[in-house]
Amino acid sequence: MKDSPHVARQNARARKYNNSADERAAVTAVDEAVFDKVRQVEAWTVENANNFLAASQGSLSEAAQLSAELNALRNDLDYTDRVAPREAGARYAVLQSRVAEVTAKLDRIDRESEWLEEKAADPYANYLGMLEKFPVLRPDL
Amino acid sequence: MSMELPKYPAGAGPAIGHRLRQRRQETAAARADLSYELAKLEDQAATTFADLDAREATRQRLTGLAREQREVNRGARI
Repeated sequence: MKDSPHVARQNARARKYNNSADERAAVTAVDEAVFDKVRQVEAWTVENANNFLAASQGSLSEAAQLSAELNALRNDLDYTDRVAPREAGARYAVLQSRVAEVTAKLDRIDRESEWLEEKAADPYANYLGMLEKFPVLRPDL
Repeated sequence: MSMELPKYPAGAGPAIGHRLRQRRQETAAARADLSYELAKLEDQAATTFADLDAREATRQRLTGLAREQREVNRGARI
């Protein structure tokens, strides 16, 4: 099995070289090869995160709209001639069910954003973690 | 073998991480807002329906009193 990129970087430093120029060139080459891979995974993470941020904006707008509808029904109830009790009850049941749905969506957004943030915060660790799970993806270094 | 290696020079990852944290602050605010609005609506409904119930009880009481008064009047005529 191929070494982890991190181990390959350590091995490049532990190896014996004829001179310091050779050592510097070899170490830099391994570092850059690893960093190139990390950059690709980081770019993928950033793209995913941007897509996620754009998509989750809709749920925030939905929550704001729902909040306004709750407020509107409360105002209608404040003036009893505006809404019949049965109609108020029906509107309340629909709104209450939508609050549960939207809250579940917000919970999912939290979980996914935490997952993505963990990957985005430390791209190097994320890359190494990915190769621990899928050693077959380890590059030749 | 423990060896200090040069760190990966991070690109846009940490910055997007910050935006993801902000998104969770926004969801927390939205969740709190929904919870607050729902609680206020339920409080208002309790007040409104209590008023309606009280009004209905008053109306029934007044109707009953009027009926009693009519019966008293009818008795007086007889």
